Amino acid sequence: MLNTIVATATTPSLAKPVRVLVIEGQALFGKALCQVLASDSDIEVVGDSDCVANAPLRRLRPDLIVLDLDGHNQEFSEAMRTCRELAPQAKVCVLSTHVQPEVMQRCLSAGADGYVVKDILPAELMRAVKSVASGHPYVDPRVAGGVLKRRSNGFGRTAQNELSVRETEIIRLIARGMSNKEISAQLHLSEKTVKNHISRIFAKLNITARTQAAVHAIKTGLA
Amino acid sequence: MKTAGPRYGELVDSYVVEPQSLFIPYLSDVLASAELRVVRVAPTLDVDDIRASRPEALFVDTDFLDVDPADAVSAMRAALPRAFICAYTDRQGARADRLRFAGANCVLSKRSGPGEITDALLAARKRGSFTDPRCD
Repeated sequence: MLNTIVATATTPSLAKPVRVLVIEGQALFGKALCQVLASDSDIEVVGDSDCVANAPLRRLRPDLIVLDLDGHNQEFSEAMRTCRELAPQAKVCVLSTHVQPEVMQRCLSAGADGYVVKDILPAELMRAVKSVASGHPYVDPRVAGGVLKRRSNGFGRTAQNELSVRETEIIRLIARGMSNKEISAQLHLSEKTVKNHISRIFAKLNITARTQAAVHAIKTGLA
Repeated sequence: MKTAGPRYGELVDSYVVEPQSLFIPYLSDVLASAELRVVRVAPTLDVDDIRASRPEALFVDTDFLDVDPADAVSAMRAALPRAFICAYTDRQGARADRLRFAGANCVLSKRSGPGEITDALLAARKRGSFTDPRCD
């Protein structure tokens, strides 16, 4: 995993503008993102959408998709599959509110080419977009630093016990004291699906109660 | 929680708590269309700074706070009893009742487009409160 983690210090020069499609669930933030990206002459914003399902991926043929991790109604891996199927030429740069290394790792495992956190500065965002478009993976240096720290501390879990992006979302909501019903409403999932996810979380973490899940989330920095 | 707040129809000085710096220029334009003039932006909640700045309105992105959103709103309300406070959240079922009870005049969903945000803020300022149903 670590050999894919590169935060470039310089901005690659591009032969032609990068055609960028923004998929962002937060309407205002999406518009702001388009405005910022469009201010760079090396970037052409070809469209924006609130979710992958509504994005005209095949028609727009973007070079790069800026994909909001949190704002769509499907599993991130499914969203990635849709992007790959409908826009196989496009690189995908994930935009996330999460600074937890495990969330970033799961995004990269699902096929993302870049991972940036939403408090990124505009200039750094441009660098990230151009870097990913040029074929150089990019992740937020803070998150990459977290991966290195975990490695040096030697407490990374094995892959089979790692929580998926959705499971991570759910355990964070459990830690906030939310019920299954509240979680299902927030994530647009059925309560049965939420229960299934929670069962898998319990199995992976070898626990039997929500309070244990909440404690785990807090101890590991997920909540 | 009853708060007088700035009168509807006045341009009011506003303090924004929002860590997403690339969002600020666009957000400021949207807030200006609802007669909220952004005079100060902070990436994190700093109640002492809010108290010292004495804005008439507060706009806080509650999804990035290090503390419970309702506690944050409560602290802001205690610091500025008469300010107009707007909580901005992407949490579906964000327990808007807790935010309102803590002192928020307005609870807005991040699913809203710019026009909806403007209308909601103007409605909240006119009527005293507004809650996006998606946040309930």
